[in-house]
Amino acid sequence: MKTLSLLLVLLFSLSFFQFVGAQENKTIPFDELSKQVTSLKKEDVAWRKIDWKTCLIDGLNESKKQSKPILLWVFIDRPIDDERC
Amino acid sequence: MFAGAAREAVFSNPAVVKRVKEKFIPVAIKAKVVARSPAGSEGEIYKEVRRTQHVPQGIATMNSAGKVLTWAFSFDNEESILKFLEHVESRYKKLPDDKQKVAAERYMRFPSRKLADVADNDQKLKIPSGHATNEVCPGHLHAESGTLIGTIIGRQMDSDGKPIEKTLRQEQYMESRFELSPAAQKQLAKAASESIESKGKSFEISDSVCQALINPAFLGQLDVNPLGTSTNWDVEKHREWKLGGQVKSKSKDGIRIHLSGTSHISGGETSNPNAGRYWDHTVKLTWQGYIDIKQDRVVNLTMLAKGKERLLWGNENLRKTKSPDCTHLMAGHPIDFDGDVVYGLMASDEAEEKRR
Repeated sequence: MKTLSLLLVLLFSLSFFQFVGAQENKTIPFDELSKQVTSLKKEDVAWRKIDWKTCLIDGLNESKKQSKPILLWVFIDRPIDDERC
Repeated sequence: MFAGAAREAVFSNPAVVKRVKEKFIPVAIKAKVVARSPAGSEGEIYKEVRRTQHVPQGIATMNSAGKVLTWAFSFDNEESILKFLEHVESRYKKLPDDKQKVAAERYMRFPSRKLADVADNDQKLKIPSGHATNEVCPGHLHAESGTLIGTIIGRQMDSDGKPIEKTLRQEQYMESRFELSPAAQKQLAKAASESIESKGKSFEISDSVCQALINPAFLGQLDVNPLGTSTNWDVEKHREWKLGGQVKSKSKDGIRIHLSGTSHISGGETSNPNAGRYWDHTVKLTWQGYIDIKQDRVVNLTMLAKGKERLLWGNENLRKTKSPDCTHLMAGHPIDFDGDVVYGLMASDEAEEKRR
């Protein structure tokens, strides 16, 4: 009897975890998945508010035209637009 | 780390953003362009930046003749960032061009830790009016022709399974680009075609495609990539992934495949927790998504990944510090994150066309 109970508990546990696994891997239809992915992007982030130029020549010509100093951010990789830094 | 820290602690400060937009011409360039100056008159301007710099990354200011006015590598506190900008504006009024000698000032930390000035070398720099038609700007992002370039967004999740709203720090919200090379696209197209020939059997996604998708899916700054980067490649501890594909539909417009699978990557530099660089990072994700293929090109990619992430950054000294982030931009801020995450990847050849 004890062995049978143990077997039933084991079978129930296996079924439960298979169910959980199946839920996690459930196929999401394209439209729904696409909506979830698109909604992750936030437009209004603090670090995107400065319109950085990426061409120093362009910057220097603009500096002369507007009589303003250049603020030159020298970095590894591209934190100014779509890159991790 | 410097760039990520500067973005968070300096260029996300609303007062600084306002001042920069009103009073400066903001230009951002890669350190490697300065290190390997291009040929010609443009290269001479980069050499001037290199001649005056103390470390490869930093915040420089220049006059309209390309002469460096003042460098700063960190700041005493948040107020001193604005004082630095005021200081530069005042210097620019006195030295807007090359009619007078300009000594480049350098501050390890503005204004309290000043380094020696670098004297003017009397070179008059020629500023071209623009790039010649056959010339590529060194600031331009290069990619092999036919590369699919997409965007990956990563978010921390709260206890209700929703992405958190904070976006300032990269361990909270991450945006980056990812690339799928023409060779990887061809491999995928070939595997999908062979699957159709074998009556729709599922197929294994090649390692190069898996890596292109999984490699950028981590929170935090560039330095904490569990699979390493071009500057810290010897950090990987574990890599395991398996993604499978199944053809969902086939028409004259192409093939749509559904991808699913899991990934587990781990890396770090943990040899000395008391000093130097210390970090540890594990990312475990469950993936699914869709890829549309036309001939041998991927024309659309949409992937979603959810899972768990553990990220530690910062040695004991950094974890103990109470000073503001702007005082130690080279080290960044300590990170201790252990929780649920979500990633979304999207790319299309139409978006790529617009980007060009």
